[in-house]
Amino acid sequence: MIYGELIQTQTVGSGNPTSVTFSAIPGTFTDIVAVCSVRSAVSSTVANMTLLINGSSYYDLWSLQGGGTSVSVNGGDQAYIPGNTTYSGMFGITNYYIQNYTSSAYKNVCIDSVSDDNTGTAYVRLVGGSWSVTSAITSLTFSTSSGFIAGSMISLYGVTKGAGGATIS
Amino acid sequence: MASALTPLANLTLSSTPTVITLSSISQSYQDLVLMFEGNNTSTGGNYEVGLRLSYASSDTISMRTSGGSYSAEYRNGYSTAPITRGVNLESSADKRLGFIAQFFNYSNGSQYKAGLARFYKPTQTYSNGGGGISTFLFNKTTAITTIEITINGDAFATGTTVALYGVSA
Repeated sequence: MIYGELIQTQTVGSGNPTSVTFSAIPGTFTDIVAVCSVRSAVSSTVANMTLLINGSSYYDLWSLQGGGTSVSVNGGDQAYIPGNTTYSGMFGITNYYIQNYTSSAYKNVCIDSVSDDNTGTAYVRLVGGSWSVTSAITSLTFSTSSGFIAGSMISLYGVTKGAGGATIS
Repeated sequence: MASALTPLANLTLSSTPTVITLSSISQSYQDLVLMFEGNNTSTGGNYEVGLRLSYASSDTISMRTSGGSYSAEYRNGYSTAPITRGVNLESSADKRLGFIAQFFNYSNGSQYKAGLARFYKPTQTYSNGGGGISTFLFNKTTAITTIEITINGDAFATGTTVALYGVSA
């Protein structure tokens, strides 16, 4: 996973909030990265986590997902995260990478997520998504049905391009 | 928090090259990370993106891809690694292809050069889009001093972005 300069970390407390929002994201970086260690309160072994960019849902989305021994390709599914019937203490890992987040083009998002139910089934999703947002990204909202379990944590990083160590032509 | 990535070079294309070349790469880091996001100039066709490392016509690669239209694809014997195998570049600005490639131990002078590329293009047309992950190995033991990004049969569009970072041990 690619990290950059830490912008903010949010840790979920009690009350199972259904969303975590980063707002007033500075436009001073080239790319942004969100690193999530989260668990849903939903009563199942696995749940979905969705992303809103500047309040908008995705425009187009593709995922390659695996659960147990099966692999499938789907449209519309975002990150897999653990539900609350998997074993205690299990938090799934999801990483988001957004290149050129201040550009005027639609925003492409690379999402990698993994979860585990401790009964022999692991869940993985590799996602490529597009959000029809043409302004700079200033807010990201991560949501899951029934809310996030206390201790869930999301960190936002910025990556800045530069020069001086190679030449591109 | 200090950034884990050191920016080395970046370019936003103002022309339409068939090869993007990164040269004079600093040898001061443990690994390299290459970010790409862009389009090609023509519509239709099979415009895969490939990588060459300190290219020589005698180079051979072995590569495995999962994703796109290939659940498991193995390629070897070529001098270019087609890292976005099965997922094509498109000219539509709303369908940009992105990849994040990592090159491990790139300055080592005695080991074959291995890498990992996560590629993604948001579209639900699975036969011509999606994304996935490729692992690749170049049978060369010399340090990587140049990286070439190639396109199969077309040119990269203006506005395509490339950035290179170094990762310290």
